[in-house]
Amino acid sequence: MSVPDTRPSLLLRIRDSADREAWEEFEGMYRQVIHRMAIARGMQVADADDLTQQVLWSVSQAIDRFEPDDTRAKFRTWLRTIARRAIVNAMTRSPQDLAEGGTDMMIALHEQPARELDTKQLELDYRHEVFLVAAAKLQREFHPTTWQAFWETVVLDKSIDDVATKLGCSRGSIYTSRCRVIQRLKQEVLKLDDGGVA
Amino acid sequence: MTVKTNLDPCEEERIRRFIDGTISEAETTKLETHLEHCDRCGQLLTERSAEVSFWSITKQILCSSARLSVVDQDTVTAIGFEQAIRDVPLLPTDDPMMLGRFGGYEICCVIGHGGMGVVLKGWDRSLDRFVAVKVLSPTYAHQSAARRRFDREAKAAAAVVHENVVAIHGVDTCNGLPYLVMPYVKGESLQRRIERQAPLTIESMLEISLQIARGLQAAHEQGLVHRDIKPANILLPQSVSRVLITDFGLARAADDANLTASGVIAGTPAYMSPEQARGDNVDSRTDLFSLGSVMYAMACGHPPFRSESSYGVLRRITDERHRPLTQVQPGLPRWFESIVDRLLEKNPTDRFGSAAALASHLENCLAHVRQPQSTSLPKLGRSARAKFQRFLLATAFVVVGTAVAFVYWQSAETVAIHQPAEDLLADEPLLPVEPPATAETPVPAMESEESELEWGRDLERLESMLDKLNKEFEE
Repeated sequence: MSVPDTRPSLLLRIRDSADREAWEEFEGMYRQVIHRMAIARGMQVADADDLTQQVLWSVSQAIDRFEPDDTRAKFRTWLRTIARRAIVNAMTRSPQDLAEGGTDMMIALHEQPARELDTKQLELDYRHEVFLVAAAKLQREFHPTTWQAFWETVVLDKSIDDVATKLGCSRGSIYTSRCRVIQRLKQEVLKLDDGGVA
Repeated sequence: MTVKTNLDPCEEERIRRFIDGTISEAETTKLETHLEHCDRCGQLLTERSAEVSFWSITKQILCSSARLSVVDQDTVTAIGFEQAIRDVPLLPTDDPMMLGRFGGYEICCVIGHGGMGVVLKGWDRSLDRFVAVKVLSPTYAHQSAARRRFDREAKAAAAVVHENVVAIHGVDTCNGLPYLVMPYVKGESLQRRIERQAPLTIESMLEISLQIARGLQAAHEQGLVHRDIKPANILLPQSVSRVLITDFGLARAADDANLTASGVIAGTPAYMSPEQARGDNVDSRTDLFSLGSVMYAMACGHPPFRSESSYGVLRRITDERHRPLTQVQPGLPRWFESIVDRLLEKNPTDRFGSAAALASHLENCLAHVRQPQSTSLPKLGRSARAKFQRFLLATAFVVVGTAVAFVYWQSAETVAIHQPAEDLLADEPLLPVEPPATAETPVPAMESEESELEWGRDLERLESMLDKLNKEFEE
């Protein structure tokens, strides 16, 4: 049972097609990240759905306040910031606050979160989930051998030679495979988070 | 970003192009062959594709996740569905053919799952009949907005008693899960029928549309707007040639403070009305637009507005005119096309005035199709806006006509006054009465020529004024 879509008029409100594309790409991943974070923090599926919808809604409402600028990358960067702030704020609030949703959440978007420690941890969790969601997406996008070349040499820390022998391909293709994956991963992660590099 | 001083720059150019994505396949093969033996270039490639810190964060995070596959969105959805069924607390039953019991019904199978819940097929022992039990998914049952909507759906649908609307037998709660009971309808949805048989015959299209219109009429008279008319929500029972509107899932009293404000999408994009797509307030006429789209789909197999993305569909619904049906299906009668065109008008006031008006028109059309000799085709009256335009035009004619007449009268008078003086100058003093008469004949002729020119200009002005008025009227 998936969470209902954000309303169509939002898409119509974002006039710039590049921004719209950015939102559509962003929204799919963001939805999963919020949901997973909520579940990871012990929420029931129903509550996680609720939270996901509220956070998405508050972010989509904030879009109205985004003022287009000449710099093209700005919408994505802005979205990234708002997105992280929204989820951190949503999670540091009590369920009672959340139930009210709406305006409170929107105000919350622009408030500084109260508990510094929590915030730090939440931001790490957020990054964690962003990586996982992005990785899962790419796993489906790449050929299984390409993915495995990346997974075994990078995540499982096996040597290039071993993996080349195991997969029956050249060392050179192991190099190029894993580089293709990491480049895409970076692209995907950057849609939602700075990936710890900025 | 990378220190390459001590690196052999043997393949630096190819690596650069590999990173840029401008490298050809043949070149990639060459690079891979080179990397076979050159670890330095392998190192360079690695460093250039991502910062060292990014590689290590990636490793650290992905390493810690053993259950990566769970992230898969499809899996999540599938789990959600299975879980939904599992979570519907069925009580044990004595009947080996049944899955279990729910709310006093013997459940034999899961029929499907809709937007917000699971639909089960159940056996009503007391009344000896099959029923469809729609249970609000446990996912939503604890969500107040969803629960409210479900309640509203039940009440709204139960209030409409009509042979073309699926009846609601009852509404109740079982173990904290709200559910509603409807008759079990064996048959197919219009969606399936369209997929199988489109284009449908003109008679069945009229028959089906007429019944939908009647069902809508009944709902609209209760102040209810369906808001999600689409082929999948139209049931065609096997046994009778009756059409049933189902899933008042999003129906709400037109004056109800609605839930869509919470950002939930309402309606299926392909059959949405322009006002719905824009997120504006809607009234019963939104259903007429959707019905127009359904008629379009019956006639040619697909909805009037299609696109790759839902954004594209919405944009087309709000901005573009649909492709005329007779272009898609050349054999279709014009009068059918004009009914669909009228329903698909962007401006609600240009559609049929009500579902009732549509129903009576369709009824007459159907009578004509069945008995072309004895029944003539009903005339499709002008839309409200066309009437308004005609009124404006007529008014304008009267105004201009009066103005012209006035000008003419005035000038005639002037001529009548001035003529004698001229005559005096023209040395013909003996005909004081004649001149106005002679003058009068040519003057109207000139005047009428002149007024035709004037008319042309006036008409142009009128047209631009009408255009402006139309725009304002539309807004």
